[in-house]
Amino acid sequence: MSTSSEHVTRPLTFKYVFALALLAALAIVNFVILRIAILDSQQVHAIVQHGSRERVLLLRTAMLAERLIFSTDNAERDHVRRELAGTIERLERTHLELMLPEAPRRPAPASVKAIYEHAPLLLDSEMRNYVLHVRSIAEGPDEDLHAANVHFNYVRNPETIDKIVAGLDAVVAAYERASAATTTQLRLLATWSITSTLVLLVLNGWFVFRPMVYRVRTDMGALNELNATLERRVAERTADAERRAELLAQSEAALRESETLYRSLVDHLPMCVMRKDAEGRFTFANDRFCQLVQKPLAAILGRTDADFYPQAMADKYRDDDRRVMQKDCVFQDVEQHQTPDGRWIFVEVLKSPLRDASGSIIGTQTVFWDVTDRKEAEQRAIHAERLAAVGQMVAGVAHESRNALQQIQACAQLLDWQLAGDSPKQELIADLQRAQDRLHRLFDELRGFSSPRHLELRPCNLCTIMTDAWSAIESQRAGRDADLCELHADLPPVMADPFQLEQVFRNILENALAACDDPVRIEVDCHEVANDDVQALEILIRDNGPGLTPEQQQRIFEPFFTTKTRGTGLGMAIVKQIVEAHGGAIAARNAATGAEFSITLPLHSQSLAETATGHASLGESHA
Amino acid sequence: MPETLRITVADDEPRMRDYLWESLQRMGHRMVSAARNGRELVEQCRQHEPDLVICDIKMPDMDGIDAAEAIYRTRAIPVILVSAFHDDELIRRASGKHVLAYLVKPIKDTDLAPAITVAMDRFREFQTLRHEAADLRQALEDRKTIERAKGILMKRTALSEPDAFRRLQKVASSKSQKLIEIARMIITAEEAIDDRDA
Repeated sequence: MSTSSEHVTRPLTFKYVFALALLAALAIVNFVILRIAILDSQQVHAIVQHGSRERVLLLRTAMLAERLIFSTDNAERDHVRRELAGTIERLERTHLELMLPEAPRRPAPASVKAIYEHAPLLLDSEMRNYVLHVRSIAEGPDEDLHAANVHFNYVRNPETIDKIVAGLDAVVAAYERASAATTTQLRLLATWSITSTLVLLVLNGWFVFRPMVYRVRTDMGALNELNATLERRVAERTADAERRAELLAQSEAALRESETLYRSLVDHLPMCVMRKDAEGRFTFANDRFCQLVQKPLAAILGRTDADFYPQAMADKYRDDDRRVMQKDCVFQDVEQHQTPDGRWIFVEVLKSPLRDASGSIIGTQTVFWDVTDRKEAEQRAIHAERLAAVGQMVAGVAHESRNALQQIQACAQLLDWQLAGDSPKQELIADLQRAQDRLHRLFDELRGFSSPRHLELRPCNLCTIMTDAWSAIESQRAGRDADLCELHADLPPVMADPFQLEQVFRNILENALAACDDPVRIEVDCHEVANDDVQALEILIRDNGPGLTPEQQQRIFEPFFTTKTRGTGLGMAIVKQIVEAHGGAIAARNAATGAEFSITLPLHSQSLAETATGHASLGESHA
Repeated sequence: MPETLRITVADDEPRMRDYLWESLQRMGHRMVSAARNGRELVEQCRQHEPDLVICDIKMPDMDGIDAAEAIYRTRAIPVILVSAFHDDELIRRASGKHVLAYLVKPIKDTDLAPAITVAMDRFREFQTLRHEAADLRQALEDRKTIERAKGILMKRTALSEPDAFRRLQKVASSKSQKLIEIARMIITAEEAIDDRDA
């Protein structure tokens, strides 16, 4: 656009300048013409003036010459003489000026020169002659002052004066003619000048101003258009900017929303998320972590692990972080972790390196979450798996051992019969039979403990079961001073497997009997409790024995943990197993008088009943 | 002292047979024979017709359950199974037969004595019930026959139902025969007449 405009404008500018130059030239020409005209008119005027002065001076000299001639008085004569001399001088000067103007712009016309120098009108020479004659009169001695004086005659001669005057007139006329010619020339010139000026103006107007105006108009149009375009663009840009601003606002809102979302996600994750810089200082931590360490975020940022954990743990975490940063790898592990309140939990940890925009590692991000439940479930599963395997094996062994036990039993019995009357030997056999009984019972308990427990649930009266259990251990009570005090009021029936529950009570009562010295007082206290909205029955069995040692309290329900010299070590483990199979719980602790066992059984175990009734176990006839 | 039972035992273990012999003796029973396997047991039962059988399950040649089945086909003798094994499959096979007790080894006199008593009581109960059932079945059968004879009489003599029954009773008393006998005769006669008619 600009180049094409330039392309158009340059010849136009040139034209315009050229037109101006032409006008200037014309003005100069006009000025010169005017100047010449003025000079000419001045010259003509001067010539006319000089001519008339010369004529006056001529007549004056003639008159003065006459006066001198005819003067009588000497004084007058002298006066006239001086005057005549002055007049002659002026005449000469005027003539000279006429002949040689002071600053002639133009030479005298040829006709004037002719008048001056050529016959019949030799003005110059005639004038010189006349001046000579007059001067002769003026400077001649007084005696020559008379009418007959030759010079005087010459001066007096009218022809002389006429000739000179005619010459002068001719000169003036010649000048005037020349002037007229010049005037005519000037008039022509003026006409040409005005014509050419007008033509030039017209041409200028047509070829320069018109295109220029057109140009200007188109340029103005283009300018207007450009302006409009510009305004439109400005409007567009403004709209664009507004749109962008709106978009920006939208994206800012989206960003805020995303930020909020991210914060809420990160803060409500059931995981701890934190970031540390290369020196191990916290740069970020989510709510969960803050809750875990029980400190506000402000008290966490900038601190290190050493501020929250024991030194050994902090060192380990720092080493892990360093390894992650050095090796640029992701670290994942399940490890034990002590919370600031001292609890030991299992956590799964995931550490990864953090990078800045240039990709260099500037710190670490750690995510960890509590997997204690999972870990414990895993351990339980492993334990259960192991138990199941052991159980299978034990069940097999127990089965296979039955024939052997039967053999021992049969032989011992036969021997006993054959040795009837021989008490010492029969005593040995009785020991043998007791050993066989114990082995039999151990195998049975092992099998019972290791195989999945099936419950046959029905509404049971706990009092009856307890009484049955007490009766069942009658043989153990033989010769002992033992009492069972039941302190329970009316109890609702509980859904349970009465035979298995009896075994529970039996085992506990047996334990109490074994632990206590006579007189044995066992108190049973039952009452209803509400545990987490679940109606349950708590059975407390207290003895008056020595109580439980801390180790016993901790391990009493473990299989094969026994302090008795004669026990399988499975009794309490089976108790726990049965109670838990009922959806209940059992705990052992020390009461004021001795050991206390607390059994909690849910009162409405419908779900348990549904699952358990399907597995009606076929009772075995073993005692 | 309860009644003396004649018992046959079966066990592949000689010591176990000795023990049972001695033990049963002491309980006042008599062991009439001892088998070493199922096949022998079936044979001995046919021979001695004991009151009770006590047998092991796992034995060579034929196991206790199969033997019990075989015995039951010839004669109703109660069986007590004694086994070291008590898996579901064995129990399923044993139940439903006339196995009256299932003892798991090792057993003692104290296990055996009540098991025998209970088994014999149950068996007698079963037997009584079985006889009662048979009698009832017979009575029902007789009733049907009499009804049929009554029907024939009513058809042939145009008697009413009570009259037809009274006539049957009269015939029976005059011939001093059972009502059912008379009824059978009538039916036989009717069938003979029907054959001729046909």
